[in-house]
This record gives sequence, C-alpha cells and structure tokens, in this order.
Amino acid sequence: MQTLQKNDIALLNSGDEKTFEHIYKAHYKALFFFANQYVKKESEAENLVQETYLALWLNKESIIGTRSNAVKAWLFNTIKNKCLNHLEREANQTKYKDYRMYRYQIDALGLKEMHISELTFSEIEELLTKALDEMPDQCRRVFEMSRYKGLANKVIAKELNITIKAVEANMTRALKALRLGLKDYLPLCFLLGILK
Amino acid sequence: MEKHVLWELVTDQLPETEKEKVWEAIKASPALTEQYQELKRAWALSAASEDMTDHQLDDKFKEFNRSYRSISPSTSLGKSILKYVALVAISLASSYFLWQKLNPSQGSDLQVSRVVAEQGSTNHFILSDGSQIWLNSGSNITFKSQSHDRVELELHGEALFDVIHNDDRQFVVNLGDLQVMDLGTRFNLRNYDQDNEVLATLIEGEIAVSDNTHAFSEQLRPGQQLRYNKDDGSYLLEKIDTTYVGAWKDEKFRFVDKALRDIAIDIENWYGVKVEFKNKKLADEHFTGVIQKSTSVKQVMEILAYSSGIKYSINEQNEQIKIVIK
Repeated sequence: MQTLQKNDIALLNSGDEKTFEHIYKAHYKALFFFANQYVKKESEAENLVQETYLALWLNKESIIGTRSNAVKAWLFNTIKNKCLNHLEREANQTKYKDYRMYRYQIDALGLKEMHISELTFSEIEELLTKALDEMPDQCRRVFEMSRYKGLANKVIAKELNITIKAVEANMTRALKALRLGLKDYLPLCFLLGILK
Repeated sequence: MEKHVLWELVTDQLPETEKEKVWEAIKASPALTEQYQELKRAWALSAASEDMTDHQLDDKFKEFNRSYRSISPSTSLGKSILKYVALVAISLASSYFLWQKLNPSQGSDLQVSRVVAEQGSTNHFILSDGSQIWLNSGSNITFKSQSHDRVELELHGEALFDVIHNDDRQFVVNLGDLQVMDLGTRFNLRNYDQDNEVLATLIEGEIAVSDNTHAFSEQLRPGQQLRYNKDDGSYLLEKIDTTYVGAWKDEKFRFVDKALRDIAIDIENWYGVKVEFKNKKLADEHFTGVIQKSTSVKQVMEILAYSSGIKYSINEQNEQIKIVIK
C-alpha cells in the first residue's frame, strides 16, 4: 500500500510543490541506499540521487502511470542508469587489473540486465515482510511505514504513539535483522522470476 | 562457495582479506556471478539504509532546491502564466479555438488509462520504465493492459515511440486492423481515422506488424515503412529516409521534398482545417522547408504562397476553416 495515489501523479504533472516534496522525502533513503551499493561512495550516491530528483522535476509533466508505484519505478530506473554510467566511467578509468576491476564489470552488467517495474516493489516488500516476520510487530510496522509508505519518523511516532527515539531504535533493529537474515528468504528460483 | 559468503560480500560484512579470493571465484564461475548479482539486486532494492532523521532529510531537500533545482516556486508560476498568455495570443490571432491541457489535475479520480493530445499540440509521456511516447495533434492512446509482462495500447492518430527493450515484456500497439509488436526500439505509427492508410515506420530496432486476422506478419528492419490500405487490406513495404520521421514532435513542420498533398494533411491535422485542391497538379508539387507550429494557419499559407507562387483562398463555413488551393 502506497500513499501516492493516481491523482498525485496528476499533481506531480502540474508541478504541485507539496506533492513533489512528498515524493522527494518518501523515496530519498531507498534511492540513496540503492546508489551507494553500486557506486560505493556516499558523496557520489548523494549526487546521483539529487540528479535523479532534478530529472524528475524537469520531466514532471511527462510522467504517466496507472499504478501508484509508477513514480518510484521511474525514479529507480533513472538512478539505475546513472549508476551504470558511473560504473562504466570508473571501469574505463581504473588502473586496477585485479579483483577490484571485476567488481565494476560484474556490477555494471548486473545493472544493465536489471528491469525495474511497478511490480518489483510489491514483490520486494513481500520478501522483506517475510524476513521481518520474526521481529516484534512494532519493529516490522515501523520499517513498513518508513520504507513502503515513505513516512517521516515524526509521523510514524505520532501514528504508533511512541517517541521518535523509539522509531529510530526500531529501524536499527529491523535493518540489523535484514542484513543478517534477508538472504535466507531469497531462494534462487524465486529471484530469477522477479528480479530479471 | 556458500550463499552466506556471497551475502557477506554484498552486505559489506566480508573482511578485506577474504575479498580477493571470493571475487576470483565469482569471476571464474558464471553461476556464482549470477547468484552474486541477484543477491546484490535484492539487497540494493531492500532500502535497508542507515536511517536518516527528518531533519537530515529536510536538509537534503533544501540542498536540492538550492544547488540543483535553483529556481524558486514563484519563477515556475511566472513561467506557467507566460504559457497561458502565449496561448491566448495565438488563439486570438488565428481566430479559432486552440486548447492545451495545462492543468490536468482537475478531477481527483483521474484514471490514467487514456492519454490525449488536443488539436494543435503534441504531448510527451514517459512511462515508469523510461520508455517514451510522443503524441501528435488530435491523437489519443488508450491503455488496454499494463502488467509486468505485457503492455497493450490502442492508438488513434500519430505517435512516436521510444521503447526500452525488455525480453520479458511484450509491448503491443493496436491500430484498428493492425497490431504492432515492439521488439525494443524507436518507431513512428500513424493511424488517423480520417486517413485511408495506416503507416508504421521503423527508425531503430525491430518491430513486427501483423493484421488481426493473421493474414500477414512482417518484421520490419530499420528504415522500412509499412503502408497499409484500410480499404482493401493491401500493404506495401518500402525503404525510406527516416531522418525526419517523427520530426513533428519538435513543434515545427519539417518537410524535405514532400508533396504538397502530404503537407496539406499535416496542416489539416494540426490546425483542424480542411484543405481542398482545385488544381490537382499542384498537389504533386514538392516542397522543402521548416515552419514553426506556433505560426497561425493564415501565416503558414502566406509563407507557402510566397515561396511557391501558389494561389489559395481561406474562408470559414459552418465553423470549419476551408483552404482552397487554386
């Protein structure tokens, strides 16, 4: 379930500032994380995210979609291409001939073959929900509200009637659990179907 | 190599001393490479980043406005006002109604299942996967289905497509009797109700054009155009120069050695006028030129007349502007 509705896409098209700010804040963390995994440099990842949002702003009238995840998919496809360009540039410039070169090549190829659609995110969310099943309810809810709905910590705190510090603590727990356990919920045959 | 080792590499938990060995193994095995890439994709899309405070996010947004966007909301409002003013000026000058949808947010239950380009404007759309569609004047596209493995559209009018290739997704456009299947590429389709022909032109990539009864199916190569006759179902496959195909999206009429008969069709579509040739021979005369679409139809006729010496008259009958070329 996303908070971005179809008429929000129309609002984005017409340049509504509030809608754009909402979209910006809802997806920043996810976009930053994605970029950082591939470019491996926080300052560069941040730059690519900002460029991606600029591209969104410049193309705001032209983006259409029939599903609520359309804008998210557009953002991720855009940043994916920017990461790919970055990796290809790095591969050309690098003097490494050892395993560090492999990283550029293999990650670049991975990005090239990656197709992201609106459905990708609902499938990822199913996966994450399974992986967080063992966590306490509140922990999982905080993660879902933050990452699936893109809500601000302040909003989550109010909604669940807990402090902001508690929200942050829950996020840390959830992230730790994912870092350790997500792989166990990724059977290869499942991956081949959805992530190509 | 066990999955957990790959996972540690992906999630940055692997000690530096181990990395070389693991990468060598990945590089040497396509199966391991694939497994690594899939684990990495899942992790990258999991949004499991260190959390940011609301304040930090706010700062990023401020930085975005300051250094990347660097226009203030009031300026973009000023720009929209200018757009309105310009449109009003044009419609007054050409003395008939040009309407462009500048504020599509009317109607809060807007379902994006149909996209439209009004008479006298083109529209440019970007789908969530980055594919682009340019719609010409007086055209519309209806989304018949949109799932992760099939996109089906119906086109009335003219559109230029730039489709991102995806082996696992069918991209199909319906044109009345015909069906075009994209195999990853850039192509122009023309299916105006008022024409007796359907045109499919491939600029780059591959498309397959077939008719709904499966009487034929042609796979086009870049530079090929299929001309289908709606009246008798016959078709022609020919090689053409695609340099200016889709040039209509540039807000200019651009024609190179184009017959006046075909230029007249463009003018009819863009301005919503009717063009009649009293002098049939003139219809075959060829012209080359570029005219801004924001020019009024009267001015366009003047430009054509001045450069070619053709004579014409314009009059209005029953709210329809009619141009007669003598």
